[in-house]
Amino acid sequence: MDAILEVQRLCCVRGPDGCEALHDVGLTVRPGEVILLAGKSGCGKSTLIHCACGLIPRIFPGQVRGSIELYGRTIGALATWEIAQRAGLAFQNPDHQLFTDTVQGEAAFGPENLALPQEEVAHRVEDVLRRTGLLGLRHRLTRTLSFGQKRRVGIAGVLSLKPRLFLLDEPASVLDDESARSIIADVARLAAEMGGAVLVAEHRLGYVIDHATRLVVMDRGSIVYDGSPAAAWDHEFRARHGLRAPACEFPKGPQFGICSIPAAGPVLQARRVCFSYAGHRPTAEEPAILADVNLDVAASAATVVAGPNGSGKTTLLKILAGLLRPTSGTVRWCDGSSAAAQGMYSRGRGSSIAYVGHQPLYLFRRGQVLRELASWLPPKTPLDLTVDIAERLDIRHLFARHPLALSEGESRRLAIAGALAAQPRVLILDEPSVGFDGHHMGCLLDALDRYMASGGALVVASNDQDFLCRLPTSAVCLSAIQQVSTAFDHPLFGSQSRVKSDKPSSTA
Amino acid sequence: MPVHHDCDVGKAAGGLDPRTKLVMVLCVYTVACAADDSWRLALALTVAAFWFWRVSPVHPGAPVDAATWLIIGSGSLLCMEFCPEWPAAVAESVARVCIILLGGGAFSRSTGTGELAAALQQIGCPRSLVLVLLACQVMVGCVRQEINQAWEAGRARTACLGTPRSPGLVAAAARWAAVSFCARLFRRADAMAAAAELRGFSRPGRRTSLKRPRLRLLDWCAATACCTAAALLLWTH
Repeated sequence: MDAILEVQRLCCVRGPDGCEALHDVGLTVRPGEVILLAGKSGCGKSTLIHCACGLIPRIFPGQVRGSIELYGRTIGALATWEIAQRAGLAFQNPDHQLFTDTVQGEAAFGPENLALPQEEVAHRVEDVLRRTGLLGLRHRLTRTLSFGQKRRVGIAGVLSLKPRLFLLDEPASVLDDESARSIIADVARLAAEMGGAVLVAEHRLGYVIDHATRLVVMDRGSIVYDGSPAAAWDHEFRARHGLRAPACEFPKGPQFGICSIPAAGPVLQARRVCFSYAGHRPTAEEPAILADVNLDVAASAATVVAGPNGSGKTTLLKILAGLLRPTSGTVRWCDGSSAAAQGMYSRGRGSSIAYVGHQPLYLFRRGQVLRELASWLPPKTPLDLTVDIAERLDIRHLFARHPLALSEGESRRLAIAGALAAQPRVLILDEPSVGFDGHHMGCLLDALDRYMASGGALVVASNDQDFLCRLPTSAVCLSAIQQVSTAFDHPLFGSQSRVKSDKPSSTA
Repeated sequence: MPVHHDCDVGKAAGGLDPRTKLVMVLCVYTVACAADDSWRLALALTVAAFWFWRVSPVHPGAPVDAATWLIIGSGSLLCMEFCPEWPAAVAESVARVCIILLGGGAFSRSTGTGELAAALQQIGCPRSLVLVLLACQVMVGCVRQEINQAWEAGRARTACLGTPRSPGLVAAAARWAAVSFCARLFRRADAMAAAAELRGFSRPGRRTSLKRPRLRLLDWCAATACCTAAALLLWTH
């Protein structure tokens, strides 16, 4: 059977320090295959995918040696738009992919560029929006979508091209459980229907492992395992290669609601918090982003905010952090003072809130990782603390690097390390585990555990079941929170347009 | 005199074909550039301001409504007519800039990237120009998003660490925000270019479009009315 993609003896040198991102990589992708590409953060998965579709060295800088053939033609001999007809890439960060202003326009962008007939464009748009659960959002502006919704739009934009080779770079990160499962199943099905193949780089193995026909594990730029996906079920194998567990159970986990540990004495209280963006008038079809949310954040505990993409998790976190003002309702410290006012003007332990969002890069103010980390320390705190935190989050080897030169995962670890170094009273993390392999997630969980043990209050918004189930779950339970999610027409969400939990539904 | 968005001329103006809206913008710009009479300038300012406001998102309870814009336009008209020479000249220059910004803003707020590209192709713009204009429009949105994110992260850092105490630290923070902003924007522009290329952006030949813009009777009427009004205003002068 002719190979769709044939990579032989591929080496790639990139980055300011000229490090070898890929070393002697060989990979053959045949029709019908779903290949799961796994490995530690920074092992070269994204670089391999970028090389496979010719982005390196055409657009991203890098020196490539070796041979890459797509459908028997050397990739260098193909124009980029010819590659687009054969291979489609969904980027790691959806913000880097969306090019038009509406969801529908984004799905139509590729077929329009390829000059497909109008009827065919309309058919494809309808089809991919249905597959990705975006039919109800088709006229929405992409800039008003949540991060997870943007991810789905990005994938829809690739699906509409109907390439025979799908290249997906961490497609499941930030997606909610049901969306991740259905989208990956759909891509695998679509590829099978067209006699194509899928190459998917992913840390959350559980969503791909059932569809994968091969597991390829990379380490430091080389392929160290190429074989049956069954190997991922072996604990020792995973530990050796820094992989996450392919399946986990979240016994008392949050399902489309807000969970928190029952608080004896809450540090922070949100009461009847409502939120709508300016210019948006809540309607039955598009309700308010948050409606009457009550939440207690307890010290020495984790509060988990979970829910489908677009349900208002990030908005709630920003309101708790004082970055957004609620349309109505209050967020107060236990002494009754306003959280936003106190957080904005005070410094030091016992008063502050630290927030690490989706884009941590803008938090940095120093030209070196070590100096950046030190800048987060409260006054009169020994510098040893930075080393300690850096070791726990595995960023000590990056001390001499510039914060702006770090990868997404590294900059997220640095931002979380900085926030921990500041010793805030409340630490708020939005999807902290995105881009984390098994080893680094263990580091993160250990650091968060220590933070909570020292009396810190943790608030986490995440859809990563693997991460959530490894938080100290013994105390997690559903609490008396009202949460209104935005409308979803995804079949998996059924007609559930408003999710409310007026009363405690379970207690651990 | 609040005018409701559901049944007014503003909504109709927002739904016009992009080519009609281009003609309207050109008419407003022509009056803004050619008129040296405060009455005409004030009229153009009022029209541009009204158009901009009507295609903007609904802000429930917003203090500025259609009546306010009309009062602002009329007030500026009277002020310019009766005030001494040099303030009138300054006011006229400001009015011209405002007309250009408001007209452009109204056009971009009411026109999506897809329909703009399709409309430009229909009037015979070369593909390269269409793509450049499309990329420019996209980058404006990116810049706005990045500014929001930088601003939000700055506030998050301040909330955690407190306000910098010396002007030097404030300046350093601003400098770093600018550096991060540029670094991120360049990185994002690179990635977006890559993503667009991998979706056939640079394929030679014409593009098709999901929605083919059509000129309706309303479009012809609006374009004719605008051209006639602009011609009359300038000709009577």
